[in-house]
Amino acid sequence: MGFIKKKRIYKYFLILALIILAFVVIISSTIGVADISFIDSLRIMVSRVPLVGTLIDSDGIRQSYYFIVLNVRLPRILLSALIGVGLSVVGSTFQSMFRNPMADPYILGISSGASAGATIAIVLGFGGIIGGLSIITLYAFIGAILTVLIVYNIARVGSRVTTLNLILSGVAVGLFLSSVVSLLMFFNRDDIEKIVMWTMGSVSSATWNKVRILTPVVTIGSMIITAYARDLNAMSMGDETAKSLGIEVERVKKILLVVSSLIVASCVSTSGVIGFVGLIVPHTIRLIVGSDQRGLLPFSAVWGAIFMVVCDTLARNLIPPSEIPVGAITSLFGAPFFIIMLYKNKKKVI
Amino acid sequence: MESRGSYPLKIQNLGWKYGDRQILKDINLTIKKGCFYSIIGPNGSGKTTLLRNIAKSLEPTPKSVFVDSIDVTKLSRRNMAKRLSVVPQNTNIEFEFTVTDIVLMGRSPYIGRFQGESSQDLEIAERAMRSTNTWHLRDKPITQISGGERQRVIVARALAQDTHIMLLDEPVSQLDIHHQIELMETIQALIKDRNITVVSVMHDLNLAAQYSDYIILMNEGKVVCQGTPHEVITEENIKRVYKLDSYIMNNPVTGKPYIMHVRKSS
Repeated sequence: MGFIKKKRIYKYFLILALIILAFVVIISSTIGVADISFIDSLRIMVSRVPLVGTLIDSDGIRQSYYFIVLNVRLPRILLSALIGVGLSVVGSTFQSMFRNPMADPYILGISSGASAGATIAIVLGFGGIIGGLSIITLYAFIGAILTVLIVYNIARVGSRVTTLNLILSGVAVGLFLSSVVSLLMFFNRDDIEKIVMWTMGSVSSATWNKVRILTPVVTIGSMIITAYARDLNAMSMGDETAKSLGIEVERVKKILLVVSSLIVASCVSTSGVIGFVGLIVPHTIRLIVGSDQRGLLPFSAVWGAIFMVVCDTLARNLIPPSEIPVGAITSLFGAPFFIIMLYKNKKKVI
Repeated sequence: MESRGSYPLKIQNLGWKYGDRQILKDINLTIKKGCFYSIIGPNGSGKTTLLRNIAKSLEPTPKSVFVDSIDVTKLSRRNMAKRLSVVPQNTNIEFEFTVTDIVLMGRSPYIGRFQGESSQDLEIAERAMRSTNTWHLRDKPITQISGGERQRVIVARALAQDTHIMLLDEPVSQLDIHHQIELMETIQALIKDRNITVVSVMHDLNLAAQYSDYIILMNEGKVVCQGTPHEVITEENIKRVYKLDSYIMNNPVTGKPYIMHVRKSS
């Protein structure tokens, strides 16, 4: 069945997925050392919603629970959800744009750039905070953006960029920066643990500040990308075909590269390198709803969020009180799930 | 000056360089409405480059390619896509779209960014699929149909673009003889029914001779000769361009020239 025929059903499935996401968020906020019930957690969250909040009866909820739900768990849950959305949307975009099923959000070397930036900040001993964000985060962001600029300029021929050149220069610059990180670790052995923990990816340092910054970047960015869904469909047929269908391929490519890079750079610099989400969420969705980006992008966004929230909940609760880096969890649980999906859909997969 | 309606496509002193290599030299063509033009010539003669210049998938120099008497470098891609459609040489599609979705992509130039396909778009797509005999494939994934079927689907997409010019790059070279004839006849019928103008790069000289109203013979980036099949497909031209000795007779059924015997020129 084509996208047009499924459109109606998709709408309901998307609403259903959003309801599932809401449930997952609330359930996740109840899980932890402090045992808070589903209803109490819901009451605490709603009590902070303007207007409606005053109607909520907050009798019998411990004051400390407010703090735990609102200031410890919720920012972390929301940050994971945002990162899940951002990485999945960009992964899905890059797979079509580069016509490469192995493309992930980090294919342009953004993760290595962010790691290099963060490593430099760690090695230099910068631990301060500027504008509510740690200096490590800012350095990671700058590293990510600089890397994309370098990769883009290497791949550029005049005003045109070919996707193959982008991938190749992304991989090359990424590998170069990875070895820079290795060297920095080698010469600064005291910082190795900190650097490794950063690159493994974690949302444990979530704050409302990070949520506040990431929310507009991810939501507006994803909306812009979704507005180009039809162009992406045409571009997955090849640049030449897309041009003949009336799409200003070079311009669209630039817009999508800028928006995607901003999303990924923001995600990586706030949480480190969380792998696999941007690769397997869009792929799994592709196996179910097909390759049309008008379906693929919204479903990848919502399920990316659900996947990340679940993974982070596991990361912080599997072996209390210690934390497993969420990047390890995403691969640990994502890979087998994806293999099962692949196996079931052997014939269907691209 | 001719009225713009009767000459949808004009090429004036078109040259094209790739790096230092001059691929096209001083090409001049005037294409008549409602006719089938074949571009033939040996490998590397610049056929595909010429087609890509016309389609604006390469950037032609200003004032060298005119569609409806408008310089293509001044036309937006969207506007261009409403006048001219392209069936590329390689139609491999790796991502799973249904045939209907692929054909509907031909409507892209008519649909705004925040709009969906209208029922009219769906009707146009259905008509395009019916006239290319692909309607029965409409719900199949493009990755699961044969090469001949896929080629017809891409022609259907070009038709859904509702243009009056269609460019094709070796549309039948990867098909077996049955599908070759079927596709050529489909295109011929479209020219008759819709009065569209077709320019196609062709590999098979006999097929080109059989179906074309006019043939453009290229060699080393230049147009060597252009005219009706009888004017272009001659023993002298074949020898000059392909370096082959041949014997050409009239096909007793179609009355078109037919190359019978070929041997390398000594």
